[in-house]
Amino acid sequence: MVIVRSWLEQYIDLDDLTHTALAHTLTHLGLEVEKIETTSPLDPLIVVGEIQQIRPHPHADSLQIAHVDVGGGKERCEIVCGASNIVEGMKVATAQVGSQLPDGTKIKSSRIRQVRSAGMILSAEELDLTPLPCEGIYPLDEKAVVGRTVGHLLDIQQVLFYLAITPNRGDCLSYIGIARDLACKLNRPYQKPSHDRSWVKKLSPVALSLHSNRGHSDRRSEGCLRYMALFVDGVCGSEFSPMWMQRLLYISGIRPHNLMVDMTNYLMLIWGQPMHVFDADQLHWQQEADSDETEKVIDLAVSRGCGGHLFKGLDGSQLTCDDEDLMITSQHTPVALAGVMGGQNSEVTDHSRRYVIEIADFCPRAVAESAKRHKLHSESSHRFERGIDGLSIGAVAEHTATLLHMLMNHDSSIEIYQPMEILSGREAAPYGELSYGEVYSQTHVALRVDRARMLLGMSDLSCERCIDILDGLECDVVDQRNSRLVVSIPSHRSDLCREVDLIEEVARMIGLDEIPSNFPLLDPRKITAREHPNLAFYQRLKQAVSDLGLCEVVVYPMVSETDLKSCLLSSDHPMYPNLKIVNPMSEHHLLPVTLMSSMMKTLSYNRSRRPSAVQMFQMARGYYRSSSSGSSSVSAHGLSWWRSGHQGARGYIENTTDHVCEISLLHCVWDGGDLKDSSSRVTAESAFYAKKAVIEQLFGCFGADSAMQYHRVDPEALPFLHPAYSAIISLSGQYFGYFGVIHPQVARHWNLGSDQNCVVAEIQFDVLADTLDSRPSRPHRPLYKYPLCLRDLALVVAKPTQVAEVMQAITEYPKRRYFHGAELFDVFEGEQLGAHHKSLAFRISYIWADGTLTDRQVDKEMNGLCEYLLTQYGYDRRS
Amino acid sequence: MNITEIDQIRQQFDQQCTELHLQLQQDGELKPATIMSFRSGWLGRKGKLQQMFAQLRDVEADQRAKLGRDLNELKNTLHTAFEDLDQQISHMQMEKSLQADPVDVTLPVLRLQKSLHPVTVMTQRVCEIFCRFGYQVFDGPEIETDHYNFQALNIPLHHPARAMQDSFYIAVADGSSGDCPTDSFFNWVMRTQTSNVQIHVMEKYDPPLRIIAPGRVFRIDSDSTHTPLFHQCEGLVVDEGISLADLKGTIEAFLKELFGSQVEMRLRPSYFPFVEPGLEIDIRRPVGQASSEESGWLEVGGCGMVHPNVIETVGYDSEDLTGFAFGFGVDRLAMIAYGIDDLRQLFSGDVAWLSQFSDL
Repeated sequence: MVIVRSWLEQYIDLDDLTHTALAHTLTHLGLEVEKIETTSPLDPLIVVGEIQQIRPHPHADSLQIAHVDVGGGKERCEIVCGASNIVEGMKVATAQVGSQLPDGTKIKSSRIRQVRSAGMILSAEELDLTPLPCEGIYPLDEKAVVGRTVGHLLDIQQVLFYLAITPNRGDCLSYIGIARDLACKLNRPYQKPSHDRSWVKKLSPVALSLHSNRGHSDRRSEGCLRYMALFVDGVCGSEFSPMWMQRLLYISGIRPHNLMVDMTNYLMLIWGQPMHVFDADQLHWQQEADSDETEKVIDLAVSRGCGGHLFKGLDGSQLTCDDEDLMITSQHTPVALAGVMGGQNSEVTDHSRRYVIEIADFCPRAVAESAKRHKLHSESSHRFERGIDGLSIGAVAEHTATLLHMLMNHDSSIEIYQPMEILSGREAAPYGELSYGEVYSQTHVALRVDRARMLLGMSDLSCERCIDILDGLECDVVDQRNSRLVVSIPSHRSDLCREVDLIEEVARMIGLDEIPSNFPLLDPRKITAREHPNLAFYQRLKQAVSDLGLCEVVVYPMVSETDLKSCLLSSDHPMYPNLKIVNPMSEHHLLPVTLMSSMMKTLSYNRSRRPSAVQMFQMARGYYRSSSSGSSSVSAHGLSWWRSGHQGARGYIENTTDHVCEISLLHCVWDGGDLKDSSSRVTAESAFYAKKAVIEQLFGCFGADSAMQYHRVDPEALPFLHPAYSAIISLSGQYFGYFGVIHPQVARHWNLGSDQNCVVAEIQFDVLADTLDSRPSRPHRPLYKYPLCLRDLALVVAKPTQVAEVMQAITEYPKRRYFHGAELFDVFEGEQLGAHHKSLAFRISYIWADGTLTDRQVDKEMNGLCEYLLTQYGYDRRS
Repeated sequence: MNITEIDQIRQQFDQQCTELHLQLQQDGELKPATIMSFRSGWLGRKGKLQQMFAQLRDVEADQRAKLGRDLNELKNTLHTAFEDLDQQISHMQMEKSLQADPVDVTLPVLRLQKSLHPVTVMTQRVCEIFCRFGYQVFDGPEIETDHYNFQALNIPLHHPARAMQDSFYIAVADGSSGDCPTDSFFNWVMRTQTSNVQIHVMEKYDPPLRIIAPGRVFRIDSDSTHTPLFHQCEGLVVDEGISLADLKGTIEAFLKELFGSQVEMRLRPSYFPFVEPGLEIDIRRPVGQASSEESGWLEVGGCGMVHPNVIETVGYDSEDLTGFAFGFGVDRLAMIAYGIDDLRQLFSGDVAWLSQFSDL
């Protein structure tokens, strides 16, 4: 809401407040001032001039030459002018040579058709008083002093306060509401605009009806509590509103149109009551049913059930009405979407002469639903959604009539009829004849001052102070017993429903600076809610990954279909998303199950900017909907565990949404970059092993490296990885991640270059956290008293054999007695071994707790082991 | 053979040796073949020295001992000379290798880009402070039902406050049915605030509560100070007799811990449906940092006394129990702490930009 300070001062005296002080007061009332702006000044060289003489231009029929006196003892200027409305003696805004117009045009002395023109006589549009194109020169007040700057004369420089009004304070979307709050805070009176019933005795010829065709007993659900129609005859539709009004609306951000529309907008800003003007001749007139007279009345109804009708809004929008939309209809034709927008079919035009002005109280919900449904938002719907003061409609109607007479200079040909109105659940009646108590029942809320003291922490808050504040807010204290106040809530404050709302009002008016400050202490023994241990683990994990030389990134999670395709993920893959955003901001509308594609996108972005190596990680969540039926449509691809849920692991997330699962993911990327220097050339194989070392180091930080196992990948399971250089990782038998060199095709899709050996790893780190968590306290081994005995053992095995298999066989030799450990130190392939075999050399260590081992003891166990490996596994000792 | 002959031989060797040394000095190296032939010519099986020893047999017995001694002496001299030469050669070789092929000391190498994200660092700092205050850290779902994200927080379906938090709605993407809304349409949202954790914790645990809940939140918004993804840290304290004064003191204590005791803060009335009174927390922007707000105050979060409607929703007694809640914009705190002016930079994923925060 934009507040023009001088306008606000019509309702409350603020002379003693600077702009900053006023902004401070408003902000501390909860009416946050976002900025203060001063409209641009008018060049002081634009002054009041008086046309003393007019003569025709010698070479152009459409031009005239005006002799303008600009005062100050200066010579008269001769100015060529194209406007036809100039007359001798007229006071005009004169832009002298050297001045600049608001649109930036510099005024120079020039020759127009061979006649020198020393300046320019300005129209309202050129003065930037209004955005409306105006014909002719803008006439200044006859009493204006020649030579005075026009900027001062017209008060061009206005101070604007931009207020951010919170949704609970619909009453402050108006000058009166703001003046009322300020008045209470500053402890001074405020003034509502004066108004009276300055209409003729004739009743507005409008037959009003409220159709409640939904069968609801609750009035509020009908959508309209009160509807008033004011009939006006005799104003020409092409009539402009006065320039001061156009200017106020213009700087308040509302485009001026014509007198009738501008007047209703002006009143809306004052009262917060949206209004609408119909061209009465475009509405349906009908014979009144119960009268024999020939007089016709306008049929106007507030109703639902216009579903299917086409409706064109004033702003050019087109929509198809929904049955739920609350519409204003005339003979079943929709003429307005209630509270949101009027229709083009009944719009005020230059030819209009008779009008129906609507002043209504539509229910917030009805307006909100329609506005949302049709994505139409207006100043009107904004106010209705927040609730307006239905009891002030009468005052607004009276002010409308008063203002209109004033604007039309009390022209006797203007006729304003006594309004007709209808209340929810009643028959239509002339304004003044209905009682509103049933529809607008008085609400009362009790305030216990003790409670306010406790809640605000102000033990010295007095009963009197509370009463004063409530009084100032027009909340009358109707009953007081001890320190319990019963307060009647004024109709403009529908947001006050509970005691705590009143306590907030007291705090707001006292000011938060006055609230004491205290630090609450809590006995830790009473706490039942204890954090999940995983949370501390996450911080450690992040730190550990970063310490390994990776840069943490945080990126938007949503992915697009193209992103997934670029990662070679097909829609039946377990890593393909099955949740989407209904209202996305872009084509990135899928919620990821893996961070792979967003990390590839991030890598690609980084690579496109610079060739250097990128090592980065992200910790974020993957999302999916687990299939409740059990029969997953997702083909397993050997990766179904990715969506296994880890329900136990995720207990801390407390996800109560049905079957929507969130998994905690860590994704690491190591990319060598594009530098062709000698240090970064690596093969895919060496990249794979180098990063495997890093990953083990990471898990080593958590003591989990020994429980980890690596498994070969089915190429279909991880389509975005190189089939030869990739692995799935498990921890204590539970699969929880993968790593490997990315597939060359993926590298190509993301423009990563062809010879890249980019390695990625992704793990579901809850599994890691839980494994650590559930692990029994780790037993430590004692310091060895006696030395280790080392033996080398080279085994010839078939080529596909994995080291882990051999290692397991060695470790699990059933007759082991002194075995301590085995370490691989050489892998050899050569002609001597043939094409199908390789040699794996281990250094095996033995230890005996009770003494130094002899060669005999060791040889015996070693021979037994060799025998076992040969007979059980066919691993031959290489001699 | 006589002594003169031995002397001649010695002189001959000395001369050759000197020549070789000269050659070595001149060329900086000697061909291995040259050294080889020189060495074998003197010390080899058919070398001069061997020949001399062979001649010793023919020498008279009385002379033999003396000549033998002289010959042995010559032999030692030769060995020493050859050792010298070898050393000289290896020295020259090393000298040469030291001069050859200096590396380009400026060649860039792969640097570790180790760094934590500024938001992570700020989250950790916020958590540390509140943990010291005795708060427990909680986490919650990022995909939430309308109930937890809105309704239980006193934001009914058509409440205008919803417009302040434009939500991403979630549906099942089954590929086949296209955009056909399901029953759960508009029921799941990406959470727009971490306040959902308040409800989960209150439902699960008994008071007194003192918790914080940092996390990611999502809204449809994009400009220099709003991004679809951002971070909040929620706080909730519920107990008997908790007052607005307690809230004020807690916020003050926190901001002093975070920004130093000279920080200027203010609370001003605002509106969040789940608190009443609802307040906004501003701090004075540090001197020297550009500010779009003319007053120099920067909003860092919202707070207030937990609305009795919320307390009643979770089944607590709103007469006996009061509480306060707060929510800080963690990204905003990070922006203030590090002087970042465009929020979008934080989520660019630009490693070069992010790694400048490695010393945080």
